[in-house]
Amino acid sequence: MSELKQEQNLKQALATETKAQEASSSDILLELKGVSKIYETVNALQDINLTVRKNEWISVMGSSGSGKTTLMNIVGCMDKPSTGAVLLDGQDITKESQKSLTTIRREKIGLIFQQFHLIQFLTAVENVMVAQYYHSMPDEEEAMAALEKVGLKDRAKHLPSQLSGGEQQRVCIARALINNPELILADEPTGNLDEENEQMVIGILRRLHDEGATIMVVTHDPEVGDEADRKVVLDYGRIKEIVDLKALKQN
Amino acid sequence: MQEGLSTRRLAKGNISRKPLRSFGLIFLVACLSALLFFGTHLNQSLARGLNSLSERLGADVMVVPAGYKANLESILLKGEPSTFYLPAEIMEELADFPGIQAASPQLYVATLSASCCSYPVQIIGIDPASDFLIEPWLADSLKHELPDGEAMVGGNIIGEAGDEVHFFDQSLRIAGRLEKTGMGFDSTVFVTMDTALKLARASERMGANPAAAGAQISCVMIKVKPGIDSAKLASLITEKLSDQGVFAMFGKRIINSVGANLALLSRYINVTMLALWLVSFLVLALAFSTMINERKREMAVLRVLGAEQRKIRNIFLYESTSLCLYGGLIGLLLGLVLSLAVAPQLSKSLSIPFRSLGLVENLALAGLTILLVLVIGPLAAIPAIRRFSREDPCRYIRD
Repeated sequence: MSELKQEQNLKQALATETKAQEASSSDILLELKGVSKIYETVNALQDINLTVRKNEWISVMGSSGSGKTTLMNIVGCMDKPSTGAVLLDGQDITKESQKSLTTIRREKIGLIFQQFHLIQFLTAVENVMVAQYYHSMPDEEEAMAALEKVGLKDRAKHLPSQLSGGEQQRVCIARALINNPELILADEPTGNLDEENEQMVIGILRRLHDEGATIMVVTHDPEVGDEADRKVVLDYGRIKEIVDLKALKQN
Repeated sequence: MQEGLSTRRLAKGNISRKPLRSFGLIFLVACLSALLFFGTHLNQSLARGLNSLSERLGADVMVVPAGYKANLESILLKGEPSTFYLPAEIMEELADFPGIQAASPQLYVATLSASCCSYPVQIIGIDPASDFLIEPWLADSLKHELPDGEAMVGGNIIGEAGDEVHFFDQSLRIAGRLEKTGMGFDSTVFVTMDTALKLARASERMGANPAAAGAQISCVMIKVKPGIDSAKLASLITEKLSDQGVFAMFGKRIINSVGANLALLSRYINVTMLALWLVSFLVLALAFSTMINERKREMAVLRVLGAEQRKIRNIFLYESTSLCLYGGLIGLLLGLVLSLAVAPQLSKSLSIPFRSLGLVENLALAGLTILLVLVIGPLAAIPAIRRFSREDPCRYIRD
């Protein structure tokens, strides 16, 4: 019985994916074609085919070891697949050198980490300005505006050690936004947060999405996952199902 | 006011974040810098001392009374006062030796630490007409010929030009002061032969020194003609005039023997400096390696945010250069204090010619020290920076 259900889900996923692929190519921001990643003998990802449209919020879910972080690392230009192609804005990033991957990360991707990864001796606003510094030019006014967006303007001059986990995560989000990236990648953004901060972060992501941002969130938290337009569920490195949450919500 | 975000800010932020580690590194570099400055200052001062010795002892052959070779060396090197005489006729006998280009007599009189004398020093009488060693040097400080009754005093002698000094109840006017040489001449008073003779006679009368018995000279400085072997001439003079109690020594022998000692000392200093620099280079390399290892994740974040390899390298280089600059400057001050306070005492206790560097030389040495420290420091950081550059920075974020 469960095998039958799984087959139905997969069929549904493929149908949704086909529908997504049928969208106008100018609408597509990210496309994964037959992506696999093998670590020695472990198949972390197997034949992943996925399309993410511009202004789409997609969540990647799955249990530990399902391959969701590997997928995020590949899309975030922090790792390369063993086989397959990853097209970001039409550019196959699997063929790019380390140097040009650095440029792609800088120009097109905003990263939000579970561990925040803030520079401890820089204030909140300086942590945001770091991303500006390596992108173009630090602009404190802009950085303050980004912090205001995440409700942290009054904590701008505080060091990370003086901020709570939720506040640190919001600084991390402001840093990810500052260069207006084409894709925001968030790895377990609420993984280290309490309920109140989790809601705050979800609210910020929702607002960003409403403003036109394309977001890919890797999470194991169903509440975060269900906020997306589509939910991709991974299991043992394969796509188990793709749920069109937007359609469900509309219905 | 908040400093703008830059490579400098990122480097400085890390330096101030770990004050103990930064202080340790600055201290290490300061020690290195002080050692380099002090060691080089010492070596250079010794070399200048030797050079000065060589210039002032430019005689190829020195003729002294037999048995007084050591006294002459003590006068020249340490300024230890001594009185001895040669028969004045020696000058005529020397004129018969072929190969002598110039011969100039000198008269040595040791003064006393008694009421008759201002202070115990060595008085050297020179013959301006024939002198080829001291006169050109005196001319640097005295624009006219030294008159009788006046004295040129060495760098260590108390008294200024115009002051009067008394030796054996005779007064002398100080005509000028000579620059320091780092040798016995710094404690010497130079006068004309006639003045020296008067002083010698006065000292005899007071029973302070042995009677000159008509002698008018203490030694003869000889310059040989080009192509003449000084050592052979010295042997020949000793052989021919030994019955008159004369001993001729090869002039460069003093310089050579002092030079050999100095070279040995210099080598010890250099080897010690090199060994300490090598050890310090390794310690610095290790310290920078630890520092970079500690910050791999932080740098990986910057890389992930889009920082190019070059920019990360610049942060590390800026950091190591800043630490070395701070340490280098502190070390320079320390080295200068050591050089001014300890080095002259060291040379005094070792009885070696020593001539401290002047302001320009000290500034040049300071510049060179800082330059070297600024090269060595970042150089020590390069292996760790290269190791980090070869790694995949995203690994630290992925893991």
